[in-house]
Amino acid sequence: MTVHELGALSAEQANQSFNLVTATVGPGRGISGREQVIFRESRYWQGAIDFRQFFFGDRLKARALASRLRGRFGSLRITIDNRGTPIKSGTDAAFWLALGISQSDIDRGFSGYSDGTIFDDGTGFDLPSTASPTAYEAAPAGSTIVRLIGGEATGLLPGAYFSVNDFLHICEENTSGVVVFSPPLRQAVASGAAANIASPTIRVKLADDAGFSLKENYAHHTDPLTLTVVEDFQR
Amino acid sequence: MRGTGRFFADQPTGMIDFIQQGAIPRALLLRLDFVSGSQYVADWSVPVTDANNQTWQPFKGLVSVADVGGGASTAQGVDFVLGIPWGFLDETEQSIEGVGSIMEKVGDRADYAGRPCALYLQHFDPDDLDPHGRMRAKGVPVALDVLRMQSVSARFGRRGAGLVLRAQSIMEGTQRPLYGYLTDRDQRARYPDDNGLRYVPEVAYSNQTWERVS
Repeated sequence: MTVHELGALSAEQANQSFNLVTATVGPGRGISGREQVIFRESRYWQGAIDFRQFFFGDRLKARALASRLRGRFGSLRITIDNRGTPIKSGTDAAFWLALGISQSDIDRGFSGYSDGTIFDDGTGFDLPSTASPTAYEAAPAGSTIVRLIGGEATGLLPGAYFSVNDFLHICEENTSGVVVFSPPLRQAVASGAAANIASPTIRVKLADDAGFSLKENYAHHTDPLTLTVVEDFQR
Repeated sequence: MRGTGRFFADQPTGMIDFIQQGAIPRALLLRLDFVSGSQYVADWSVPVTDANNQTWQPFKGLVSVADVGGGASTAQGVDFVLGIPWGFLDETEQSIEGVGSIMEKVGDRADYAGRPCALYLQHFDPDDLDPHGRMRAKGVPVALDVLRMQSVSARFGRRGAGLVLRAQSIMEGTQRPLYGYLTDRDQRARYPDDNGLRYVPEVAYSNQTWERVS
């Protein structure tokens, strides 16, 4: 099935917010005032993306995309803003600085112990890898813990996102790359699978068939548009 | 293990306290015993493994249960809503684990009619995680209902489409006379080849016409 790219619209996104929808059930509050809450792992992502306006060429692209989506039928890939966690966007040195490594360590190419001492042979610990982050070992569907290595993985901050195969996950805890996350893996992940931290992606569907209805003003620009989307599980 | 008739007979100790907690993870598990093989589905979005090491595949949003209840005195029918039929899924969607094949199976009446299916409840311990961070099952699955699959109906509307699999509880009919009536119709329902009551009148005072052998 064709996956459409929201990035094809060059219009700037004013807001982007993604939240996990949780649906617990219960029998209702009893006369004792207490209620038993039942949890099922059926959480899914819901998101809202605000566009201020589509002008000129953007307007046509938006029209075409809206038409190609066919309401809730089409699948849309969205790149998630992951600001806040160290991301390698420029040089290795800039990335190491963002991770909190001192300039002197970067210059000499290794780091020492916390008290400043180094190895007997005059070297020290390697600086963190700047390779693309990957899964260190295979993990079955349903996993909520995965070990990531390389690049941004060890510095991934709790609350930041990462994606695997366009499935979006949020980091809850990170101990040297061993990441506890939500929601659980929808699919098994092979050892060495790429984890996207620099620009996580998610595949979604419109929450409503009429969710991409443009209101055009004299065929010049459009009114603000909010896309409400829900996670697409299809792969 | 022999059933003792007690609900918690096979559950580990401490289970009563466990299920009385204020918040508890649970999964509904549905086993469909088709002639061509059993399907194991759960109402979670990820596969779940029960206490017997059976893995139940996620049915995502595609299955829901209309009503679960019952007891010895009720004639219980349960509808399982199976979502969009197989033929309406495109090629890539048909390959989802477990989902497409159920659509395929319910299309063949011989594959499901009269076959058993069962609905279970499995508890999970939120503090007992396996190395991959998945919750481990707590206690054995509890059978909520054991049913026989009866019929499938399709529903298409302006706002909805789906397959409904109707299943009848094995408790159904327990309040009816056990052996029915000694009429031809009831006898054939019991033994389809038995014509022994063919000439027993079902309606009083009706004239029975005997066939003439020519």
